[in-house]
Amino acid sequence: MTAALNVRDYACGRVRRRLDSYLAGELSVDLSHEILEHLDRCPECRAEVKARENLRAAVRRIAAAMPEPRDGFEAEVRARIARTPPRGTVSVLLLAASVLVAAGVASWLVVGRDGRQSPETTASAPSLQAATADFAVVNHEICALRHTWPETAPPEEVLASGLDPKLERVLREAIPRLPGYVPVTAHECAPAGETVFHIVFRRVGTAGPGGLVSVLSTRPGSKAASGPALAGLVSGGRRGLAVVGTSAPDGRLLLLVSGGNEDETMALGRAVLPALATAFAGS
Amino acid sequence: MSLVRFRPAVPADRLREDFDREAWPHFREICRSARGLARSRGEAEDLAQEVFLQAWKSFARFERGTNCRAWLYRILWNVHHQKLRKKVPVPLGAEGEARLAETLAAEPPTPTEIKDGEVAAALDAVSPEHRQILLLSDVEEFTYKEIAGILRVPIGTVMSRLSRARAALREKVRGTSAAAGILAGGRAAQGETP
Repeated sequence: MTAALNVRDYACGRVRRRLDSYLAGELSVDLSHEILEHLDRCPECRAEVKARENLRAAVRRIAAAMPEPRDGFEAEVRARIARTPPRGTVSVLLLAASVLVAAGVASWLVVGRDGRQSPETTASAPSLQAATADFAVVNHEICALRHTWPETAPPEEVLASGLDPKLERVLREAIPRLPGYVPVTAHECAPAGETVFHIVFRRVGTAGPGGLVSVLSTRPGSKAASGPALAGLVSGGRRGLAVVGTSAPDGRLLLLVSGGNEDETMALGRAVLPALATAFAGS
Repeated sequence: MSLVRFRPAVPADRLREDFDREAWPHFREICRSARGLARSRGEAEDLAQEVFLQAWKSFARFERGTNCRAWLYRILWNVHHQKLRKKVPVPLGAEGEARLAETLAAEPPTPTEIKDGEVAAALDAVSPEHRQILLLSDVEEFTYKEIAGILRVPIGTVMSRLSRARAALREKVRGTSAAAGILAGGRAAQGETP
């Protein structure tokens, strides 16, 4: 009798371990048949199936009774999305503006201000080329300053979602490099006609665009990076914004734009740009 | 050396049309699911809004023709999980998991008469991770394979997590039912377990 009970208990245990998958329709045909056969001759397991079905049904009823979103909530989210630029896109207007800017950047890089052939023939400039500063500032103004970004950092995984793994690694390298700043977005965009990897940081405690800092990386071999490699950190400025740039070993141009003064911006650039150059080279 | 994958730019207007068609039909469902995970309406709204903002920002990378609903749930999982990590470092704990696993083999019967209010209380009492995977499977009726894709874990992990989640829910239900004095009698299949 004891032996018979043990055999039945073993069978019941084996079936009960699979009951939830059976109810979810996730078992193979053979296993489902095995369970059905057992249920035919085991009233206790039939009762357990019934109880678990009741429980699942109750969970579904509770979920179905969850309140619908309040009136107006969808419209609020739609409005927020309408103001948010998607990554990897470019509007027709921006495209047109970008073509003009890109043409300007290219001409700055090929021909100097006074029309002389400059970048290839002159020694490294003491300050950032005006065209390069322009390129950085256009990216900052069109992308960072014209859109609404959160006041606090999104979760790191959310921030990095959708990024290429290499860019994700670079992002993770950049995040801790600017004490007092939090990253609010990291994406690829092309407001100046060339795709750049754009990380926007916000100075902690600020809400407006004045606290935003852009960290930009071009692709290797981009037009903006086609001038002579920058030796170390080089600073410049345009339209009230300060820019610091450097060249990465793999040919990228790395730029940082801020609304702070030249010294503050240089300190930020020193904190983050060399580390990013190393991260890109090591990826 | 690995190459950086730069995707071609997509016109924003076309992307918005695609987003309207693929993602927005799931908005109310995501809101309800967020409400099932969050502790308050405000928290649920923040969660749902964050899901759609992240989905929109990343939509250029959504692979057309794949399951947009499952993709939105993956974002919901990521955002919710990140929020949880800030609030509750370890929901159950290795010791708790081990204790629960031990009880699985000798689980008492599930109460046969269960009131929805008791189940709601039990759902509220299980860990947020358990609640989420239960909702994915039992309410949203995703397959184990789809849940593995949403949570980015192997299918075996989905099965073991679901097993623990369901056992935890039954344990809570037994607790609330016993408190209400309606625990069904009867011999447990594995013997008279405590």
